[in-house]
Amino acid sequence: MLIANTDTHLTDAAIIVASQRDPALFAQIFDRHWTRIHRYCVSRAGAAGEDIAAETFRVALDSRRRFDRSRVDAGPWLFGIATNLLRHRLRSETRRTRALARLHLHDEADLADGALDRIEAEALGPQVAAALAQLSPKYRDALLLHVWGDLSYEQVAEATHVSVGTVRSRIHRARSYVRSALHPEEILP
Amino acid sequence: MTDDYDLDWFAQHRPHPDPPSRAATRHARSALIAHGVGRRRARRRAGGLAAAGVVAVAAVVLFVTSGTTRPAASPRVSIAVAPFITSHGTMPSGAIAAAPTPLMRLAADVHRLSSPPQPGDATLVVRDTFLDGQHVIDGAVYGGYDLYTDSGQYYYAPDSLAQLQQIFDTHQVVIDSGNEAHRLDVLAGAAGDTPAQARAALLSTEPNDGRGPTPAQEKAFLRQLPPRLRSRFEAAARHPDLRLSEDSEIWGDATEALAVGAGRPDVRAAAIKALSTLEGVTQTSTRVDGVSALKVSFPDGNYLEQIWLDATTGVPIEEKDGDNSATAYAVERVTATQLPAQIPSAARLR
Repeated sequence: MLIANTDTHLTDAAIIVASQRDPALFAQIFDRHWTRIHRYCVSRAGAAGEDIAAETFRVALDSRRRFDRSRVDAGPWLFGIATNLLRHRLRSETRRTRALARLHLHDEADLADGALDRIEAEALGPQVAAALAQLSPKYRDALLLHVWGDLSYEQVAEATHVSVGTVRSRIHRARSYVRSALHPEEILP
Repeated sequence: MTDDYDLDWFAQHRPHPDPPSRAATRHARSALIAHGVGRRRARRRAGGLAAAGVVAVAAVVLFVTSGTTRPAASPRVSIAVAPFITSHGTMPSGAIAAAPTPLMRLAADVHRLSSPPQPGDATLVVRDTFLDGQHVIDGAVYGGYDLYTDSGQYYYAPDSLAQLQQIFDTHQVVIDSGNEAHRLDVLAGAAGDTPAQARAALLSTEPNDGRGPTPAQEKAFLRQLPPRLRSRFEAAARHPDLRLSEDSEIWGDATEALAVGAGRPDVRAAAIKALSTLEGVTQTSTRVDGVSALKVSFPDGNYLEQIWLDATTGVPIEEKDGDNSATAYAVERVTATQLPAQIPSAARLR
């Protein structure tokens, strides 16, 4: 098994520091976090998420010198990278969809549906997803890192480089917004 | 305290993709190792060029720093004067209008900047986020180049002004700016109003004027839940407070409007007025990098939020949340079809 290569006595920080001399050691970080990062990326971007998950580790490898060595767990750092890559993916998807629309290959209605929106709409139901889609990406990211990435408020703060108070505020606001933005007349009989 | 049942519901609605296949895992792992080892070998091969490379990188960094006149990473040099603390309990309509706080004086000054009209047809905002004093780069740019046209469109480029120009020229509009454009227009309309009215205008851009879900909306939400969770929600809905405090809403919306609407004095004036209504907000005259500034602090629960505004124009200079995360702003009015190659310091709004 791949996990058998992992030295469970070393912290992530220790492995990342050692990998600066021997990049192959970074595979141990991959072994520890691949499944969670893969699940999060595929949850938010569908099949395309697999490539984004792989790209997350490549970017992490390239930027490992900037990892905060005081952090024992590299998970939040990796989730932060994945979240940024997902946002870039959404932007690219939006641009591509717009380009197709200009060529009359798609309906105008498709424009609002980026890859992330579609996946989330399928998972959450159209009303909740639509309400969530009205939020700035930072609010949506905070909420989904917490409930789909299983990160604590502190870890979301670490992943997104804001204070825990800001995370608390963003998640609280996202939840309130989703509930408030629902139009009961469209749902109630 | 908010009940967490809705988080349970969100978690239950997480897609459950198949775990990564063994083949996909092996492929990703092998590619990662090959990438890392390959880069190391490439660096060794390029060892003779290392010194020249360092010089080149330094030159690029110097260009970016001076070319865009991005504010320096924290810590900034600041000289503080005695703070002015607002404490007024619940906000009576117009109560603050009679108190000439530093924020109120700044709002009045900024409102006067609304005429004559600003030059150009768009506002360019260069954002840089710093973590522990370092520019954060992992995976993507934190910050970047924002262009807000006066007609309400928003363009974004992560890397450079040249890239932003290309994105504008090819009409690659970021589509999720509708809420912000609406909020800015509402705020602009409240620029000449009292602080209480500016606050109310800002809250009006939130669902139900910031009051949270109505009973009917709550019921609609409950109907979407799986039956097993619905009863738990219904029990919790009898006494949860699903709202942030109004002051938290105001702080978040006003500071965001100050960044997004940095090029519009009417927006800035109203947002500053709304900030002046916050319970416990601290206003301190100071200087940042030689520029007169007003430091505005807001204790949100156990956390301190801070923003530094240019004391003459109200344009945000820097925003801090928590101890080690800061975003620095550089703002300029521009003509969208002819973005500058760089932002000269003399032309900056602040």
